[in-house]
Amino acid sequence: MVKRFDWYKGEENEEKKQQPQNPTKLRHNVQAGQVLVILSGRFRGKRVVFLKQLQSGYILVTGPYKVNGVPLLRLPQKHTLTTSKIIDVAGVNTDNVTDAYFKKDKKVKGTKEEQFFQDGKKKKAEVSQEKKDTQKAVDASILAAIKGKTEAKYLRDVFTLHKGQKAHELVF
Amino acid sequence: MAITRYVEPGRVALVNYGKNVHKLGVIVDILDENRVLLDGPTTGVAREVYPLKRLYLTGLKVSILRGARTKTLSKALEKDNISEKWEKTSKAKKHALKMKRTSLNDYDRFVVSNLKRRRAFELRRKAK
Repeated sequence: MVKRFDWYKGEENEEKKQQPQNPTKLRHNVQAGQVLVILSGRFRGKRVVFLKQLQSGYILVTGPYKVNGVPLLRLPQKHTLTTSKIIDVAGVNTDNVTDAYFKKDKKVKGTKEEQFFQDGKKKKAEVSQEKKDTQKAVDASILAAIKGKTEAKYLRDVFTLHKGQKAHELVF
Repeated sequence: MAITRYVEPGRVALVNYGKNVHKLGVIVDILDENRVLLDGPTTGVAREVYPLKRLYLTGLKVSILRGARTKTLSKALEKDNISEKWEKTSKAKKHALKMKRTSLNDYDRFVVSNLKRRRAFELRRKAK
């Protein structure tokens, strides 16, 4: 295959980066509302609710945030474990959550020294009100569906292997 | 303590390992010190040679002669009502429980652990 050179970098080329040629195939037994276990990263072990697959191939999940502290998260499918539990997500609308939602804000300009003298402390990343609102809107119907049920406790629980448990022998 | 569960024609055995694992069969003939001919027409175990190490001998026995054919065996099993007798034994119940536990999915396992925690909490509360 001939190497493609971006001689004239235009907007069309930048859009193509977000759409991979072969996006990850969604596992056959995964549907909206399926409970997944996150296997790596900051939220490893947490059980989350699968919402949809994004255009880039990544998976969109949510804790819900009030239940286990996991926000709207974008994950590679490979970092999840599918369980057979499905939660009712009939009222959930994730149309406005796309790959663009997860784009990181531009970093503060200036050298490290300048920043140090400016604040004295490292600034904590703040979540925009817009994101908080989206989180609330998406989680609302899920929280209503699991309110007061064992499912809520289940999502709060963290997955671990216990003594005598063998991962290849467990049924999920 | 004397041995009561002999390896003999008619002895009902539970298969521990292999493709017919967790199924019942009946010892029909004995080959040598280590191997027997096992048959289980009612449980889907084909008439085959099994090493004794793969079997668990139960306390149940069917009245058949050595080398009895499959048809004769299935008649004898029905007559002695082995399947019902087996279900009543504690081994059968424990085995069923073990099978249930291994088949639990992630949510079921959580429900069980949650119930155990609640029970422990209640017991501790009542002990005070």
